[in-house]
Amino acid sequence: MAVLNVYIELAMKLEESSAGPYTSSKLLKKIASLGLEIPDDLEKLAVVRGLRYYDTGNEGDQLRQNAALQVSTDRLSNAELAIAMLSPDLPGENAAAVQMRQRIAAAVLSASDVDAADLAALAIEERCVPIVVWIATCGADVEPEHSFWTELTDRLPEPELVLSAPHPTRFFAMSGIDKGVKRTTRQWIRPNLAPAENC
Amino acid sequence: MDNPSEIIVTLDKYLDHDVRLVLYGRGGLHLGFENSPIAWAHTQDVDGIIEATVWEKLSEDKQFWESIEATNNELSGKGLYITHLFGEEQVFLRRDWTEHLVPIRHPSTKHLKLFRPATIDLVLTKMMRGDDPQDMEDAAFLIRRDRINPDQLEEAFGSANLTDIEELHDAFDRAKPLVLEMAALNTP
Repeated sequence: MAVLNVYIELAMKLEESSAGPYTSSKLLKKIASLGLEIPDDLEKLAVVRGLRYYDTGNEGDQLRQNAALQVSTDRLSNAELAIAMLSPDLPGENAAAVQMRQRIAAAVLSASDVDAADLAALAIEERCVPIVVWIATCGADVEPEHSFWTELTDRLPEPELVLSAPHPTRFFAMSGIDKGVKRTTRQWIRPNLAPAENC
Repeated sequence: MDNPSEIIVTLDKYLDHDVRLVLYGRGGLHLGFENSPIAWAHTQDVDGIIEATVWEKLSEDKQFWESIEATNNELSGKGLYITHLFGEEQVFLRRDWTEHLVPIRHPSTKHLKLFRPATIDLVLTKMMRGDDPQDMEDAAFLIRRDRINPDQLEEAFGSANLTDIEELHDAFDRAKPLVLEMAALNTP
């Protein structure tokens, strides 16, 4: 019986490896099938879709010419792009790289074409609820008038502790002086392009 | 031209009189240190600290604030900004930080007189977000570059103005062991 169990386990592992990577993430499998490199193309696609703040190499124009990145929001929504960047199934990297991706995801998921209900469902399916709740909590603090954030947290279960997440100030641009007056201003970082202009 | 230089040169163009400005953040680090990490040259904004002794005059300097706005308007299409300005009481710095300012000589400017805080003060500024990985990477570069040792850091901690915000004190406490460990590598 023990020998049989070993053969069953081995057969399961072989089946898993032949199905390709990201077998536990339907979303990442979909993205791979679109011809996108994971994880690098996720960040590039965010820049192509108007997230200029993170175009640190001024590569936006060049990236927009890249045929591989011509993936419309009909084929991969901004909600899906954001959740993909938060997936626990992404390749392990150093903390700085992971948090940079989380920062970019926080911006993409706040795009005006993202629906809170769809985003919440994806977060649950892709097992990244804690980080999404963290982002939404920070968002609600910066933009209390924007109902999107509470609509999102209302649809998500109480999360466990987030092991690694960006400091709240990494999600928004902040200044302590505004036109000669000492007052703190905070602006959530989000894509610049209108949804209709997304590729 | 790198991003921080472009922002500074643009602001300088709009000014019609001399203005003293202390830069920090990655933009200030890029302009203030030679052979700095390439990532610093790609930052899309420049952060500035307004010294307490300069604030009253600067707050009433209409032409300066109009120049800031003009700079941001001109560069917004490229995603570049100089909107992040803070009073010195809003930033972690030693109490005598202004006595240790380092001039910034590049890019060449007509009206802007640029400085950066001393390296050890810049390390303090990088502790405001606790163990934030990006800030800790920058702190590591600064500590290594100037061979800052733990004793120097402890002395700086003792004279730092940490503001009144409790969250920032918590962040500082989280960052302390990390930067001390970095500095320990500089102790023979």
